[in-house]
Amino acid sequence: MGKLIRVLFLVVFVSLFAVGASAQEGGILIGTNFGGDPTTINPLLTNNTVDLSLTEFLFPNIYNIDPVTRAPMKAGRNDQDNGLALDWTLSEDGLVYTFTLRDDVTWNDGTPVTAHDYKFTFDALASGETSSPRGSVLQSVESVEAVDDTTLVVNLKLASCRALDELNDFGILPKHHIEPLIAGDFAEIDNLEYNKHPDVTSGVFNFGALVADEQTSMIRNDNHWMPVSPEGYILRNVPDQLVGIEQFLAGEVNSVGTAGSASVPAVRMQEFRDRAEAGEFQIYEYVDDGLTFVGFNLADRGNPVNGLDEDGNPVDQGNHHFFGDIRVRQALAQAVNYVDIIEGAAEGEGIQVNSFGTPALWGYDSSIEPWEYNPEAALALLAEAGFVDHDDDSSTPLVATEDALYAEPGTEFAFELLTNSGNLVREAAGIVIQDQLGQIGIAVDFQTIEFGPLVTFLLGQDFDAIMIGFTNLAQDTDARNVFTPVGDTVGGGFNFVSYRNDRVTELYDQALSLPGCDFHERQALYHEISQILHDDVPWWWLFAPFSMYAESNAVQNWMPYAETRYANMANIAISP
Amino acid sequence: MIKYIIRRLVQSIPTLFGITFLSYLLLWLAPGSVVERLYLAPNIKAETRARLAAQLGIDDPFHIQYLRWLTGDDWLRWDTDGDGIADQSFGLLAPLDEDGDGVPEPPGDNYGILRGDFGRSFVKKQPVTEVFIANLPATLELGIAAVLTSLAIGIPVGVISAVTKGRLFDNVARVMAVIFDAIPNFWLGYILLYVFGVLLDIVPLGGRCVPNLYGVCPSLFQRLIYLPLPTIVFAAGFVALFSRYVRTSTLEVLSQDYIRTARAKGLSPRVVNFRHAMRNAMIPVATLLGPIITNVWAGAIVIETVFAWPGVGRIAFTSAIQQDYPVVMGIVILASIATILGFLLSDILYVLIDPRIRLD
Repeated sequence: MGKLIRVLFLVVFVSLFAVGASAQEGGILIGTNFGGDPTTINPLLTNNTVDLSLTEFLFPNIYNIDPVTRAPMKAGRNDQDNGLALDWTLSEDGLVYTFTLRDDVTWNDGTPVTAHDYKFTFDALASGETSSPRGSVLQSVESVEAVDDTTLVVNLKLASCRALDELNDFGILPKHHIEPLIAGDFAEIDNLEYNKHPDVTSGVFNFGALVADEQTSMIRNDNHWMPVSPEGYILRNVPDQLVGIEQFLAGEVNSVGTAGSASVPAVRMQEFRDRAEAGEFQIYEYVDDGLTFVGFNLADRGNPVNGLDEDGNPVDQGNHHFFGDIRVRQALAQAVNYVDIIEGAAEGEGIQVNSFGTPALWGYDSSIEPWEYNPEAALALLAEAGFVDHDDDSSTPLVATEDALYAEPGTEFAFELLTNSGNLVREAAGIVIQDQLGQIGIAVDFQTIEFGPLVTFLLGQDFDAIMIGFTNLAQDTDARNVFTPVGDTVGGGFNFVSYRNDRVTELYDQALSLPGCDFHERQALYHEISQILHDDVPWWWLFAPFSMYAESNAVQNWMPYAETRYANMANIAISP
Repeated sequence: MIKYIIRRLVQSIPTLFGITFLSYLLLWLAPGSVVERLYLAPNIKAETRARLAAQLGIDDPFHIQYLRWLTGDDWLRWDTDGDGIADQSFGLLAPLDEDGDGVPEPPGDNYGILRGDFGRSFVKKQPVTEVFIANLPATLELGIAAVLTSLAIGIPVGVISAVTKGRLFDNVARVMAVIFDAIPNFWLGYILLYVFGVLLDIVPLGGRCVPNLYGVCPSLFQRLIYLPLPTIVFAAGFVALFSRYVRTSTLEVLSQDYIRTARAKGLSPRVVNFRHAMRNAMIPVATLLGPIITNVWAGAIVIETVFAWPGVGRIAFTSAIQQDYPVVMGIVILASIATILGFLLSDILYVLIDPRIRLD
């Protein structure tokens, strides 16, 4: 009996030791979240950075994203990322994608993640009964078939090189867990308790807890296919970036990020650089994947109409009395000193962009020379466009002559520039623009208004010029919704400036339907579009801000990339 | 008394309706919508945004939206055969196939505020009552701490100011009262955070606790360090208010004959001031309870935002910014009820403290 007890004791002791050895005591990573509680942690319904910062560690995707190029990337067998696709092929007619998926990925309850899960998630989206905003995939995808657990076939409605990007627009739900909960009614997905507390997931972490307005936490998934080091990851709610910075410096959190210079003064950004240089903590800087611009309304503001009629034929939208003329837009592009805007308004925390996009996007052509400040050239172009200084007084506005294309003779060159209040960078940039255009005889009525009304003016196409920004631009550079008549719909479309250039439309079509979807050939087409957009100036291309991640020195093995804070979360260790 | 309370409660019903109508109208008139706030991106099609707006019902006319919020929508469109598809509807107000796509709209499942259903948050996508339940304890914790602190400081300061009228303490207290009343609480909050949180680094920079990985907060005693700064900022204005009210009423009481009699009988100044004078001087303080409850709600919006305090006030602020109507309207309802009850409570306390007063 005594021997048996000793053996049992030994077994218990060894098993305890074994458990202790297998657990990776990597500490708890504590980050900051400036956007409030997650709206949902269901990857089909997510649509903000807070939600996505959680779902990226909880749910599988169809494929991985190359953190450097941000292009689709096939998974390796021992890859820690959540991409399932080991390989994929596109049929010769460009209408069928066939994916081969990993067979070693499981949900945290042990059930394998399969092609059936992806099909279930896609079908839920395609039903249109959920509140998912991720419907863009339905533009090009007809149906999805799960041939077996590891083979997924995607049938496209039309050959679309954007389809691959769109197929990865949402994370994958566990069919075996969700299907019984909704009893065949996809609308019920919106009401699941799972959306706040996803218990069946498949990532480096399991969901931990959501404490309203305090924090959201995730806990190490010990059933993950590779050992996970951090014990957990807490995202603590912080009211704004400035408070987040102070909490980071006080050691209350391990990491903090700044998204652009709008909310963090340059002096703090520089302080971070200096202190990181001195070894107090680690930082990673990159150019944000968003840009600030001024959109010119090219159509008649007094009568906003869609760019296409119901049959898809072009509609005469009239011309804006100033901005309808390309020479005026090109003149304005040379009438402002971008150094003043970036160094002054943005406090040096950004770079000038030359066209749509930023250097963070693969379709952006960095070789295009951005517009330069040249007020003489601007005045010459304006004179050619029929706007002259009629009284030799530079303090009064230029007036239109008979030569002006769309303005009545005698019309003073004065327009309204709107932006959203509260964004200090844009407010300062507007004042610089107002001042510098004033110096060449253009009167700018610069107004800052609340974001809600601004959007109403923007989408209603009821404006002269609006300064605004796009952030988190899609990985694929296709911007047909922004620069072709397809997106020129009053009240909702993103071609709110009513830009139309048949060559641009043709190039977007080509880039979208290119046989084989060769990356470099598509890139060349987007570069050509970029050059045309640069020359046509439908937007006044201003700047892309710098962003920064900062981690305390306690965070080890940190591997950041632009827009990817933790490329190797499973390997991160946090020292006490 | 009971009759009076019932009459006051009945009288408050139209007031409450008026408040909800005007509040809903103001929200409805605000430009933009929650869909544009959350889903404005080039990769989200206008059709998708329109579908999301329809699902939330914010594309309906004002009267339909308000009626639905008030009375629910289960009577507007319903399912009689249990197949989950609406087959009956209330005439023109809610056609069965409203969007004309050949498929009946889903049956209504909202009971409306009159039947206690606050609806679902557009943003948090959960019942508004759950949002309140999650955040109300934090607001109560801070509000109670602030009111108790202000009473504990304001009343003695008011009494001492009155009995030392014209002397140093009184002058300092009066100046401080004006200062604390005039200082915007968000400014005071940021200054205190900067001094004690950043420069001295002796208090956390906001929040209510540090939950562990499993979301568990330590007990109130263990997280008391989070409470002083927001409480001080919250209480500052109340202290000023109480001390001035108490000072004025104490001065009035001190000039009464019975106080002179008490002094003539040889009672100590402490007994006279704090036992005889202070109790009677409290009557006007009771009338402040109504406005104080209103001020707790209003102050919570600013202070909870400054200190990242996870209460109802912070939710009110973010929901208003995000145009999350159901949450904002729920808070309007709760705040209105609290205000009405607060004023009623003031009246009742007035009677309880001063037996000479009768409610009619």
